[in-house]
Amino acid sequence: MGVLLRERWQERSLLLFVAAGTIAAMAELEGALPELPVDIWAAGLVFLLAVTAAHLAVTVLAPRADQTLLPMTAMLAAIGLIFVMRLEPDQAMRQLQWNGIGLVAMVTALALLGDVQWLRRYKYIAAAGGLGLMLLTAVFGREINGSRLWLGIGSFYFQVTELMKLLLVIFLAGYLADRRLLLRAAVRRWRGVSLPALPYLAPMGLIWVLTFLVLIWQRDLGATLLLAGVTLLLLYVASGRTAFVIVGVSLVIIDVLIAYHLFGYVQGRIDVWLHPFSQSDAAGYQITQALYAVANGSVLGAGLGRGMATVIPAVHTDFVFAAIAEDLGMTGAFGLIALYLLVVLRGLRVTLRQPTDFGMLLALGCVGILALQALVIIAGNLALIPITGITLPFISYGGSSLLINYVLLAVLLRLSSLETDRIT
Amino acid sequence: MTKEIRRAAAAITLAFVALTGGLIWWQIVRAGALNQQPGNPRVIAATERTDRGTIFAANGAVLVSSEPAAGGGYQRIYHDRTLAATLGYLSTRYGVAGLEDTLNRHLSGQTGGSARDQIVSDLLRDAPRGNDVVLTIEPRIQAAAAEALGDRPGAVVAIDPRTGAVLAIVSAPTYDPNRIDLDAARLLLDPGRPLFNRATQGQYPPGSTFKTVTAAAALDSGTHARDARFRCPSGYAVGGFVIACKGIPPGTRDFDFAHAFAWSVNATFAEMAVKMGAGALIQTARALGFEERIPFDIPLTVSRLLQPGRSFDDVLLANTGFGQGELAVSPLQMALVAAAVANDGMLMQPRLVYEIRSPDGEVLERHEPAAIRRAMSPETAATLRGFMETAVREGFGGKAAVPGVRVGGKTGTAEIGAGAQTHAWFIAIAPLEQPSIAVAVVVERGGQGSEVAAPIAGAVLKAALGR
Repeated sequence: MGVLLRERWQERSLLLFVAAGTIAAMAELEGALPELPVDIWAAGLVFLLAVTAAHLAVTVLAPRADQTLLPMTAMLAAIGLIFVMRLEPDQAMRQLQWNGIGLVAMVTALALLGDVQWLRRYKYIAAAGGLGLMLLTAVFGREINGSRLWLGIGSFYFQVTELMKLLLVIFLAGYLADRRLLLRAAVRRWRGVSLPALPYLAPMGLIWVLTFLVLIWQRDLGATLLLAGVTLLLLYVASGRTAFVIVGVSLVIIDVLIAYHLFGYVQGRIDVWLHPFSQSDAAGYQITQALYAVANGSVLGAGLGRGMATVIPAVHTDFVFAAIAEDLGMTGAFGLIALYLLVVLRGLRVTLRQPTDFGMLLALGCVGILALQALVIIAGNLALIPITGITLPFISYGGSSLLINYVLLAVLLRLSSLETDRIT
Repeated sequence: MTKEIRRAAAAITLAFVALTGGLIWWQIVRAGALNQQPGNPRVIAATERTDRGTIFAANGAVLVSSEPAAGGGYQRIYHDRTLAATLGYLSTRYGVAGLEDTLNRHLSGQTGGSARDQIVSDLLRDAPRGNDVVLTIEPRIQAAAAEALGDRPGAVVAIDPRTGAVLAIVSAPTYDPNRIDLDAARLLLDPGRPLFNRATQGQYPPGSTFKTVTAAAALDSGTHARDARFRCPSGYAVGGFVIACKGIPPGTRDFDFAHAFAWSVNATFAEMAVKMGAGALIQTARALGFEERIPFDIPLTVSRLLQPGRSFDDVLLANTGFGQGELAVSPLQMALVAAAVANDGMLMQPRLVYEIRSPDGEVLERHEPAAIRRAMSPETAATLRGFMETAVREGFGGKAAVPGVRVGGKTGTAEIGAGAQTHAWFIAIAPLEQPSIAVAVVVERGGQGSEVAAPIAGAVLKAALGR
């Protein structure tokens, strides 16, 4: 019991802040939408108890872990729970359950990860597992909303690309940590241009092909961008070559261009992005309604529960950000973006303090996944890029996504407890 | 790897900053435009949440009010069906029309009150309360006009010539704006066009009421003096047509200007128009508001002398002189002609809105009378008042007479094609010593102006003058 009283007071006080904010938001929500068919207070209380239990578990399992990551993600998850209650109250209980499952998974992962380095040995197993899952999904997967993303056992469905994010990061971190020095040193010259040694890049090329297959088979533009983006980020950091970034971005553009010309759904998404208002009754309806919501938020917002974002189709999965921007206004949306940026910067601090290359690349992969998800879906909500089905981390309704994000958090927490001051 | 991670961190930070740029773009720069897009469900919902301002008549009678609705929000209640086309309606399904549309800014409370008040009310998330509007409508005159016209398709407009205030404005047939959500589909297909405001958007040939304009042009341009005398032995021949001398009592050898007007002799006015030339007629007509977009509180269709792209030849000019040709005139425009004559030639800005008040009764805007321009000389106006008096006393306008009051008027029986029943017109002013009301009446396919329209004008004058 001593450790519980002695350790992690920063985290505890920050969590009190989260609890106060959650309670205030619940009171506000009840005032705005008194007839909401969900017990706001019970859900909020259960959530806060679950977070408290997780905090105590972290105190025992990883007393030296970073003390800001859990409160910040708990804040995001609280915002998510409140907005799912507000936007799609029928799904609120499931969102609460998945938060609970996610927190249990986080604590379990924290206990199992140990010094994390052992994961490096399973990089090929992770890669094979990812490939196998993808094949299984392509063959047996269940199609929802035109995308074949779901693998089901009985009534339990899991979005495969969510798990693939984690497996990809483990593979890349292990593979690149093994070959980092070779990647940096081995150079082939071709007409004065220095090129990376091809044999070391073959597996990388394979990943490009695979992400492209994700795009074709699973019709998931968002997942393609996410997986390709993380690969690129890790490859750049490991090799130190800007050329990779240029080549990689070009490959993604080529991927998308091919898909644009071959597949109607990609073309449709991009056309809607370029001219949303010209088809506001048809394909552009969703994004147009989202932009109306964002615009209505103005500086101070309509007030929690007082906007009209529920008219946006799939608002609780794909357009929560637009709903937040309407209810809480620019003030709230800026705050949310700042919160994500803080999580990311804190995660990068953990990255920089890792004693091993593997730890560094693994932490960077986890941070990169969270950062890219937030960037891609928020930018999509604001029509800065085409809209994709990526979730807003810890906020959007969606079990698989919540679960995996909590596991990514566990990896970061575990790595942060292994920090040294090797680099400051 | 540290260097690369720091670079990646900088790039990611920049990307997050770019997101805030997107927020600023949609929530500040483009917000105003998006908040008013017709496809935005917030635009319609806002009107239901708003406690819109009350619309009052000049005497304080409530014409339109907002009452709390059963399912929350507010509901518009319309208390005067005879004003339906002018007051308009507010429907979440069929949009907004009439004064409800043009005064929306005031009624919804989007103006008035300082910016600070707006921010405070935003913060408190008050249900906004709109501003009240007081119209110039006099319910007594409005009721008399509506009753006199009845269900016959047509329009009646009464104006105070001294101020331009619209005292009554009737368009028939009318409808019940309280049932617009239920009835709109049927009303839109109704051949009687009840949603159409005939008083401001109707376009009719004015018939002989237009002789007031022709006479004003002849007097003002000096081609004809007030004591001019005319003869009409066998009609007026122009471009192969002969315009008849109908209306002259048998045995009359020659007659003066006043009786040419009172008897409404087409040949005389045709010849008069040709003699003065298109320039003089166009000048006076334009001074009276023809061919001009006159600002008004609801949409007002421009009255035309000619179809677009046409120009006058002698035949067309002759026909226009007695009110046919290609003239397309709104009833409100003819009321303005009568009003200018009544007001010593000064055309006043027509208006329906007297003032805008805050919910606390504070006057936010008052629309003071404003002159548009002098449309004719005071002498010409005085002469025309004499002609109009003759027309009521001795000519075809007898049925507009009000006992004990000197009334001036002019009939019109507008032909709209062979075999079709004529539009019945009448314009009137009273009392002639110091006119306080000018009226224009049109009854579509009603027949003779003297028989059908003149009694309606008379009823309106009686109500207005308390007789």
